[in-house]
Amino acid sequence: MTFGGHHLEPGQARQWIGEVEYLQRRTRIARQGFWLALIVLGIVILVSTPLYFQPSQQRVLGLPATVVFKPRPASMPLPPAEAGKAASEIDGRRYETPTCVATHGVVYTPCNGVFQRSSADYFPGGTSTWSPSAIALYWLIALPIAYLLIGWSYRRRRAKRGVATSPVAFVLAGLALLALLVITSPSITHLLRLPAQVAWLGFPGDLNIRGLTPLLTVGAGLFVLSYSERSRALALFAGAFFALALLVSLYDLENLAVRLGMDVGPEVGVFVLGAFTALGGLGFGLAHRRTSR
Amino acid sequence: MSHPTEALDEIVHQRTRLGILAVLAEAGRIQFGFLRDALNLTDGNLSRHLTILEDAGFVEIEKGYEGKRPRTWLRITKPGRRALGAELAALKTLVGRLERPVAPEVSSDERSDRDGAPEIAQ
Repeated sequence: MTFGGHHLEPGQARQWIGEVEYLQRRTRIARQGFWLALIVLGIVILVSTPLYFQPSQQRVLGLPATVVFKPRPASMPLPPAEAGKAASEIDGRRYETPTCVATHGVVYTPCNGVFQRSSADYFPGGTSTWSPSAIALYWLIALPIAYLLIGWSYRRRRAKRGVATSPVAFVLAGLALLALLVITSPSITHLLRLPAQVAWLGFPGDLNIRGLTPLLTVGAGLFVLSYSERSRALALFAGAFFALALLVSLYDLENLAVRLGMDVGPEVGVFVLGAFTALGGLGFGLAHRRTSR
Repeated sequence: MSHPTEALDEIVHQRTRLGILAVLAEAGRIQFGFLRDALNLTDGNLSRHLTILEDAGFVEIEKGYEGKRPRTWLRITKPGRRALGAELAALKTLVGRLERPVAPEVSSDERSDRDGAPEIAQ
């Protein structure tokens, strides 16, 4: 049958469209490799779990490790704070004088304490974590290595198979988001003489007191990867990851675990997220292997 | 109204070249060997089609090395994507026409004669 100047048999157009769709599906399968990225990121998150174990109460309050806590007996009233310093206001902020004072190696509770912040000022490593500086150092080293490893795996895949998604946007986005966390840390902002508003993300608040903001940057990076990979499945996974990362950043997931009868600390959220990512990557990898046969 | 085949491009409206553009559109940058295997072509056959597509400005060919091995990389251009999109749209329109039952052309006079005529039960 001839249409205009072109010869087309009935059904040929349908067949060509089918062939195009088949070729594009096969190419997409050969191109995609995000499952490996998920496994790498999952492992990096799982390895960080020990850093999130609950610090001792003594450490949080800056007290010697040998100090013991005892309930305050009724006969012992709360010690009056120093006159004029119990709740002083400086620059509109309320400061409470700590009353968690050790007397002969004993601190009677309840009492008021002041969190040790130190290195949290330099990077959102959290304030109520065992070691904010260890957390900061871990993510500053582990995440760039993970991104470079993922980028290298895509390059290797392209060299081996002749086709692969470009990981450049994902790697750059991941590194840029990590840099954003560093720059918005109050001390860095101060050092670079940036406007104080820039530091809003780095100030200890609900979002970052648990030192989990690096996970949010990972989640945002996964959205970029899903766009590069043109994968709806990965976009959905990134959405679930981001929601879970936001949940563990804002809420102590161990509260739920305790209700289920498990005595665990804040590390449970990190472990769940790491396992979710690594197992997700494994699942996607197995599905990919099956479809590429 | 113009016929959908008028949107068909002489260069793209060829089975192998349509396949080449389809694969390249999905991959971004692709190695010659992958494309050859995906389309089950010989080196010479693929090269001939690629030359036609390159001359038309639909494909970019880049020769280089990966390590010590020489490699040829292929990429679809924006005009190439547009041509592929137009070809697929035209093919889909044709399929739609083929699948629709063909209604007889009726002139305006005949149409006005039929207006008001009682329906005849079949």
